[in-house]
Amino acid sequence: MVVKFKKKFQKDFLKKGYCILKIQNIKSLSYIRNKMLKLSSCKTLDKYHNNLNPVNLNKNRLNIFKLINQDKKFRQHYFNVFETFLDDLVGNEISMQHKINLNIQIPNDITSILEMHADSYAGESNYEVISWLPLVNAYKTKSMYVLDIEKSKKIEKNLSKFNQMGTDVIYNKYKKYFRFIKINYGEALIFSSNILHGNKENLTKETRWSLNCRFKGLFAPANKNLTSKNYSFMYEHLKVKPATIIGLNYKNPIFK
Amino acid sequence: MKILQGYTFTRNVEGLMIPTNIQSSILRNYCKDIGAQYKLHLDEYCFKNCYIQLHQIIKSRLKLDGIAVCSVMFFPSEIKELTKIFQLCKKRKIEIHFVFENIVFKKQAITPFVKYINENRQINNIVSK
Repeated sequence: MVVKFKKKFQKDFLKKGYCILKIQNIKSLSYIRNKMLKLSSCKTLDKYHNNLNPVNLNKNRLNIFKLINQDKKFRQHYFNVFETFLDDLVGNEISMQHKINLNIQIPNDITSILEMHADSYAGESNYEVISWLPLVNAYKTKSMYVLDIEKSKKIEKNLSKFNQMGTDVIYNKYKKYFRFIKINYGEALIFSSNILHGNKENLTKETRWSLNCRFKGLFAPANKNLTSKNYSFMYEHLKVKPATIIGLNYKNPIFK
Repeated sequence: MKILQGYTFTRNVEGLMIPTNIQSSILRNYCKDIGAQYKLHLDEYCFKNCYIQLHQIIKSRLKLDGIAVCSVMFFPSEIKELTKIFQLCKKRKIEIHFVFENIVFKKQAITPFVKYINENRQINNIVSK
């Protein structure tokens, strides 16, 4: 099957397993950022750590997480930011993860480190994409690192050799291939669930605020391994077309 | 305040399969109850016999006081491997809190502890059938 893609971000995504996008829907992006500013009670999200006792970080994060997920407008605006890109990368019948996740990574905090992983390794669909929306400019260790799809596959082939060593050994061995994403507020990242990524201790002097949420084609298969990440535990169907509704309601005639 | 790292498991282990967010919530509440700080959970990779993230937590250079995990079932069943893990934890002064079984590994002698864990697992398997 030879499929040619016209748009640069489609080509980038196919080649690298991720792409950086310039957000078009500024109205929705502004809604999201304004809401976060209000909930964080600080004027500049980058400086959030200045008046924070680090022990309260996770409690505050969970509180904001709860509030944004209670706000249906927030969810709609988040989807609006990504909709056109998802249409071109995933499809127009879409499932969206139940919750939008929030990361607040303050400088020198070790409790928010996420070790190297691919979401599909944790049982999610191999057809899934992860949307990542920074609410501040992110760079170096304030950002996250990714490995492109080809290098991820290379590591995957040798993964079992590292079973009793841990992922740091892999990270250090292939360090030169991992790239901390430089991304500004107003841009977004979409990456495949099959690429390796993670974050490290934030050694900059600024706090990173970012949101993430997973999407997949409505009928895209679940992970090949039997895992606890059931469709209905993970996602809600967001965009369904009429033919699908008719199909879902179809019942075979019963012959007695 | 102690820092406990959450360790969650997505594979089906002899019928035991709990959504990660529920595991995380259980572990977070457990940490709250015992007055520990919860460090964001790490999901184990879903490949059969893979314990790479567990080893990562144990060997991590970050200062951790322990690991919080829902069940003993989410640890390797092979005695040799299990013994090695507890030896490593003891050496690095990492506690392991098995929340469902209400078992905490701290400084116990390893051989009888592994034996106990393994018996617990075997009984569980027999009774569940």
